[in-house]
Amino acid sequence: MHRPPQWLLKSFSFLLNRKMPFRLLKAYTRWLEWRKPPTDLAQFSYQVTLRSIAKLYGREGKVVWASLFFPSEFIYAFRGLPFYPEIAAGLFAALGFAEIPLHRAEKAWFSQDLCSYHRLGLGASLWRFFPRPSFLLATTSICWGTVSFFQVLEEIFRVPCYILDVPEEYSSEAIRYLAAQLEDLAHTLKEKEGVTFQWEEVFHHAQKALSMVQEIESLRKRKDLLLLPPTKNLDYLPYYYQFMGDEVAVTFFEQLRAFLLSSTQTLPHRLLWLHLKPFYPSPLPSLLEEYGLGVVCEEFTSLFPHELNPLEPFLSLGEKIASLSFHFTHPKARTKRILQWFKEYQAEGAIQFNQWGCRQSQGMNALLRQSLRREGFPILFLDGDHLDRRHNTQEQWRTRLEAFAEILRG
Amino acid sequence: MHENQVGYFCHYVPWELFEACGLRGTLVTPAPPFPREREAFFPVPFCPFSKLIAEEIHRAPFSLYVLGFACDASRRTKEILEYLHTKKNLPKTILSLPIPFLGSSWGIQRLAENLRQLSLQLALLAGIHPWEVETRLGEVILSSYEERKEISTLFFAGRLPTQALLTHKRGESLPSQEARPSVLLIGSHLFLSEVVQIAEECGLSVIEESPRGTGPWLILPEQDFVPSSDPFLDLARLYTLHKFPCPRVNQRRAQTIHKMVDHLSLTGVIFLYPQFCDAFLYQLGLLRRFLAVPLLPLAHDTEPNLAQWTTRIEAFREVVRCAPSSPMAPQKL
Ligand code: SF4
Ligand code: SF4
Repeated sequence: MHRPPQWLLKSFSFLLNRKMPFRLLKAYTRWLEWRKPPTDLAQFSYQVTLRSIAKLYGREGKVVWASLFFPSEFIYAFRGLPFYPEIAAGLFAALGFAEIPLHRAEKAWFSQDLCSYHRLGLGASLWRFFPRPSFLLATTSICWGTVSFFQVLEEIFRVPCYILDVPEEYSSEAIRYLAAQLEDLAHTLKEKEGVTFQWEEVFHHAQKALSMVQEIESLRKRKDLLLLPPTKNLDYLPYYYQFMGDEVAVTFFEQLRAFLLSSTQTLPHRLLWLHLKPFYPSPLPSLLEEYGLGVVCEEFTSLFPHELNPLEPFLSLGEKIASLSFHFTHPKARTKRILQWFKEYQAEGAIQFNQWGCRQSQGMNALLRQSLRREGFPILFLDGDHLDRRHNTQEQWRTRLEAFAEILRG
Repeated sequence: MHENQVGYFCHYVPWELFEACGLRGTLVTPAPPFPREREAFFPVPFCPFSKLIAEEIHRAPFSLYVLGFACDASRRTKEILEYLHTKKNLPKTILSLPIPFLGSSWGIQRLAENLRQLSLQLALLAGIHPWEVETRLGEVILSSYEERKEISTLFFAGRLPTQALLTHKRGESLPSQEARPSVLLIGSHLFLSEVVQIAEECGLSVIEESPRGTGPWLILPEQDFVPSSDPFLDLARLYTLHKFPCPRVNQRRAQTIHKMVDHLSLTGVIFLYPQFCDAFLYQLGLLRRFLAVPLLPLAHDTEPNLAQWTTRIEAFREVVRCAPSSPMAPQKL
């Protein structure tokens, strides 16, 4: 891609840091809602995205950046506006703009070997493309790269950064330890940021969204339905993380369920999708369709299944963090969950799209392969990068998917 | 247990604990020729040091290892080793010490607790009472602190000869040098001696901070260490608040290095790092932000790159020589 000139990027950054354009955008979104009430998922998502942009860049509240496993319910509870830079990085790539921030980060000596979710986040932050945070919240899971990433963001924006230390195990002590840190954090934020917490409504929305997701999962377990084009569900990641606790997620999942019930498409093979996927425009989804490889379950859209109790908010959220972290990062727990999905979703195999700079997941590949092989399930690891095309091995995708489809056909 | 020896890795695993248990800790240090037997278990873009540690532990003679995990790579390496050892039924015990996030008091408390748990396991293996370990530990920490103070004073005065600590044994007297260093070498665990040699051959006098050399010994001169009634908490505090911050402790480390460069009027920094180590890679970006002197990054995978390093260090020598006598303005992110 040809990089736009500096003056253009600077002007763009200047505009992004003014409130006025986003007041206008807000007026437009209101008009759009009135003129064209969303009738399908695409229109709904489009309007939600515009509204979020207007709110975040128009600074209609405290903009709070969080790492993927930091629960958005905590932020909604004090009426903050959650912003997940790792998710926004995916959106940037989907729009085809990844190269600009990636290049900016590398110019500042953040190596190409770092995870591109973080590198892109750094570049976009250095360009001031993302909405300026009031403060930062992160957990030490899903990976240690997240911690360093947030520490550098702290340095770039000179705003407070609060990091929760997540133990490696999933136990009542771990949950209590996390709950105590969350409670401590809530006190600090009350004191320093003057916020107050209201849990009922937020937990109510999260709960409703969760039951909707569980219905969707039940639908996806049916063999007569395939439901979504392969890997499409990962485009809805913001609803599973950033909007949890907001009414928007409930409405979205209601719409998704309605869409799924009306869909009749199926593909010959049912697969699990591990880790994320390339978010830049690529032929991967169509290749999967071509070889009949349907995706019925994605690791990252599998939610924390427990109820959130507004009377014990910190314990509930502590448990959410501990459970998510454990099931994603502990090899035995992760494998166990994957094997359970194989049964529940009647899946025949799994695909993981490796992320170049991700030691956390790639370091587990050998053991995961062995465990699945022992149980008779094939797994395909595709190499590449989710956001940075330069690490991509697109030429090999076709051959490898073809070979995998053959294995599945037996 | 093999002559009471324990192999350990990384520097957050405190040797003081071994000493309190009557054991002898040896830092696992991969040395060439490097085998490649376990390579298939690791992805390509993965910490080279971890890969070599896995090989080393597999072939090393000790029956007990303590592995600290402070990053994704070390955690996965530990899991791979555990798997290999269970599968092949090797008579080795692998204990682990999870290193929490150390930027808050929560993490320090948890590290203290993890150290306590580790001491119970070690005491059991060494056949001594945990209570005895706890009593001894307080004394070991105090003597270790005194020794660290002495080393650090020499180091921060720029009088500690390069590589003096690579082979340093506790209790030995320390050599000191009069010549002032001009360049700081921030080293990786591997290939430090090679880079020191090249730099010195290029006429650069080097002071070194690395995980195998001075790194594990240095404490910050600013604050005094006051022991409490809990030796495990003291040990955690010594390793987090007082120790020279490791690359994982981003901002504090970058600030410390910046201060040190200023204090010793150094003219440049050579940064030797393992190619796929996130901690070092983030450190590089931050150092560029903090440092006001020229910075030379040298990456390595599982083999050194001597010819390329020589050319780059020679070119760097010219940059350092031509650098203005007043420091450059720190680079902006
Ligand atoms: S892809 Fe891997 S390294 Fe990147 S943010 Fe996710 S877990 Fe961390
Ligand atoms: S060199 Fe870096 S990646 Fe490797 S074990 Fe040390 S901190 Fe982890």
